[in-house]
Amino acid sequence: MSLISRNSPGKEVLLMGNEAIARGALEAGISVATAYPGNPSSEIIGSLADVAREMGIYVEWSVNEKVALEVAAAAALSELNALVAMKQNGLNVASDFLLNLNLTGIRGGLVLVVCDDPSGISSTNEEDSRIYAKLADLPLLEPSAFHEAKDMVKYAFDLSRRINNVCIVRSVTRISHARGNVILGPLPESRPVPHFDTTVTLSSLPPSASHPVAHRRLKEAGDAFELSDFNTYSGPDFPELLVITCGSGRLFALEAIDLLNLEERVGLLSFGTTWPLPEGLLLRHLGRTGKVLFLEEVDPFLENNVKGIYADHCDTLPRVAFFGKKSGDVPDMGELSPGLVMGIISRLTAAALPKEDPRYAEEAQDALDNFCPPRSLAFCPGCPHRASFWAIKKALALDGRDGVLFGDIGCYGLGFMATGFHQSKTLHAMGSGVGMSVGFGLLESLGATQPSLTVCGDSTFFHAAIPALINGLHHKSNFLMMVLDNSATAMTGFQPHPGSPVDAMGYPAPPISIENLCASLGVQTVIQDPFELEETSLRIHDMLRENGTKVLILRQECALFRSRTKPARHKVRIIPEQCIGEECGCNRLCTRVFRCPALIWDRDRKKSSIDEALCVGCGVCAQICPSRAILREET
Amino acid sequence: MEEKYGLDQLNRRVLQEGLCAACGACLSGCPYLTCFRGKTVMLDRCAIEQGRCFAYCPMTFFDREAVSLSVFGYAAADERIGHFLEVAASRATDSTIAAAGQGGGTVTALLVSALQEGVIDAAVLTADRQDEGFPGGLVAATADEVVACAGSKYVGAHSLAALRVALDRGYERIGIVGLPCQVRSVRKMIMYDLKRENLGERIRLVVGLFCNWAFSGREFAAFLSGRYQFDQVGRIHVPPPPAQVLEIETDGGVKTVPLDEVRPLIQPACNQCSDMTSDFADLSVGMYEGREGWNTLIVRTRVGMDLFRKAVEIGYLETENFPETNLAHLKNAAANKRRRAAEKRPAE
Repeated sequence: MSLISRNSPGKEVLLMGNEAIARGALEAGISVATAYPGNPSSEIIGSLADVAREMGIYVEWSVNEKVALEVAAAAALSELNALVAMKQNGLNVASDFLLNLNLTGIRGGLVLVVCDDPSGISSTNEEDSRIYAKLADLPLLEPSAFHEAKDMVKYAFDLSRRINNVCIVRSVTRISHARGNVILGPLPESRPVPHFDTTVTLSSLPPSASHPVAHRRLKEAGDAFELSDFNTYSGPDFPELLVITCGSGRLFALEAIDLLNLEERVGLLSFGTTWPLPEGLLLRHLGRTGKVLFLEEVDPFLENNVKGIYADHCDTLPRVAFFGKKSGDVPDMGELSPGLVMGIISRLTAAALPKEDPRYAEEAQDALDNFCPPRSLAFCPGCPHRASFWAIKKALALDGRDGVLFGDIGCYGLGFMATGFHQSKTLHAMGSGVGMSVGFGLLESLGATQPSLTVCGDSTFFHAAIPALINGLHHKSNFLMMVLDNSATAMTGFQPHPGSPVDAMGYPAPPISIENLCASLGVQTVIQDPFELEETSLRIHDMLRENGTKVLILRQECALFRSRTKPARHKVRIIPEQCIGEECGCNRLCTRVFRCPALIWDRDRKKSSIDEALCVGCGVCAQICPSRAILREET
Repeated sequence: MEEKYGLDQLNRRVLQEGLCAACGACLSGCPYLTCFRGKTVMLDRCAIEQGRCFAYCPMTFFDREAVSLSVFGYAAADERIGHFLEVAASRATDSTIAAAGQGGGTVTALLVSALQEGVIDAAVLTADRQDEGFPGGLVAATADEVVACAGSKYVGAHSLAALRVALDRGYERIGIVGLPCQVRSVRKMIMYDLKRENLGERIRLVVGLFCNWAFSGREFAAFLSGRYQFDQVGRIHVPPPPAQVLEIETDGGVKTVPLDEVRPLIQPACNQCSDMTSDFADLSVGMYEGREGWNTLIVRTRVGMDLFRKAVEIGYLETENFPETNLAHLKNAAANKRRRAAEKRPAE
């Protein structure tokens, strides 16, 4: 029984930020919700998908964020409320459509929730998406806590319907993934029937007509924001230091002010509506202080906008010293944190930091050293990617022409690390591996001698790889595309994709065959089980020796996915007497190079052993041991 | 005494320099090196600081004095055909063996004798069409298996990789037939025996072949399959000077190719080798220029002499005097190889 669909108005529940956002959308009466999985946004559509049937709504894991936005837009153009969610990179993908949709406007309501990942903890980049609101002339809201997130989303749908345009809600990891108390509101009784008014054409042309309309709609939102309760102030009337913040900065600042006992000296102006910025409210507070600190994640978006407004009114305002990312007082990249914020405010107010036990730092370091050794990211035990990269490593060595492997996004994105034997040489955006591999494979005519190859997941394939593959085929690029098909969008939580036999809501769906698609393009397509290491490395080697566009599907189920329903294939154990470990002839090949987490090096006995709790019995390690010390028996 | 290193240095000094002689010694029991279609390939990095690969490779270092002391009991001075006890002309008496051999079937006859008399219990030889059609090492434990390996291959065939097979199978008196580079490698193995595998006891006999050069396995295979039906190619023969040709048995008869055409296929390592007559073997065998059907046989050690005498005694080998003029000619040829190598690699 899901909390987010509970029909108990007034009930206080503990919800994750993303769940609160989902609940807000349900309370706003959405009919459609779409997304492509991406941390930290995945739980929004993930939780809505779980209650889709119950709530009678349509929820979809779309093939990519552009299509997700288009599907949601169709609903919003047909009088419905629709929600689309994505991470910062997803907004980049959706941006072409967004920057046209903003000019045609919509009829129902459409809220685009973008969840940024400050510090890029689970992303290939660090990016502040708020600029899109400015770029697209769309209103922007940033929740700073959990109940607020729910109310903000609900309000955003209301606003969206009123101004007939998309509203953007921007969250970050620490809001999306943390939990807090939320009071449930009422759920709607009914939803509109979809209807597309065909008496009107929706086109942004000419921009000379549509652009002013977008500006007008934005101004309407701005006027509403002036009176919004999402913007709050706490502190003295004339603060010594005014902290201007939004989003996650608010709670960090509140905590710092409390711990430093600065309630009488520091004011906290928190904006929930950050574009357009309520000028009136802002100017009132700017007129009452001489010192401003900006706290926000990641870029100086709020900072620059405030400074812009200040510049417009500087002849009527007192001199203000601005502290923030421009001044260097706040780092210009990376997450905020309670400690960081406290340090900044302490410096600016000369307030003493709370006393810390002098042994604390030492004990904390001790605990880290003993209980949290630094560990590189690793593929799970039994992950087919480990086998694939091992085979690629061997194939490239046998080939000897210094082949270049272009990497891509997914669990196999770790191919550039030790767990993937450092095979991937690039990592950029979804599908960019195959795009660049195509490009590199075209350089032969200019004298290139290195083979071009790329790896691409099954979900990535549908997301972005197909156009690049077609480009390569048509332009006769010489490259090998290896689709690492583990039957899952694993990295983000096993969401279904077009190759899956079910959809987001659990209904049966026709699986789209990657090999049939490739074959229909006329490209040489081979399917291979990466667990057959020798065969796979020879196959890759031989395909690299052929000219032209080639597709190799390395198909083997994700170990985690498989373990839900199937037993272990093998019982694997090590014969200690056979293990030569550190000696010449092995040098700990299994634990030093292959590095499956289930293989342990016993420092005392100087032998490898298998951690039975971690081993899933894939049996691949038995194929690589030079001393045949690893035994695998079929179960 | 040369410093011993590991795979990193082997890769840098030999593999990356293109100086691999394809002897096969480094492949023995190592997961980081493999032989693929005639070439030695490094698969990954090994962190062992002093490995067998570097120590046993004939191209990393060779302490002439130490090996000489170990094999002959003194630091041999002869710069041409190496230390020897006797040089003779020889040939196999058995017609099957004689027909199978390149010249006189002497090597085959010696090995068959050694097996029969229990001097060895297995032999590491080189056979055609091992992995994917390339010549490679093979462990022979019967006379028939030995005879099947007769005939010169003229290719760096990674034969010593089969030594690991022989050791793993538990043979205790192993005989090895090899090119000069392989002989040197085996002598280093016995001397250093880094993993204390009792190699000095388990390797009982080393027969070396005369050699001026060997083709790269991969390039020669490409050359052959470019011109002929590869799987129908039979014997290769290099007639004595002044012929300057290569004779190749094909399904379309014997083809003659000018040596100049195939010189580019020779392993670069061979240009640096100064050893024509396998100076450190127990016995060295080569063609007898000008006398078809006979071999030149150099006996160097006690072990070699014992086997030579036994083989004659039991009637497998026929022997005659080796004329002084021929010996002088042989020494000249060996000196020429040494000189050519010195031009390429002065420090020997």
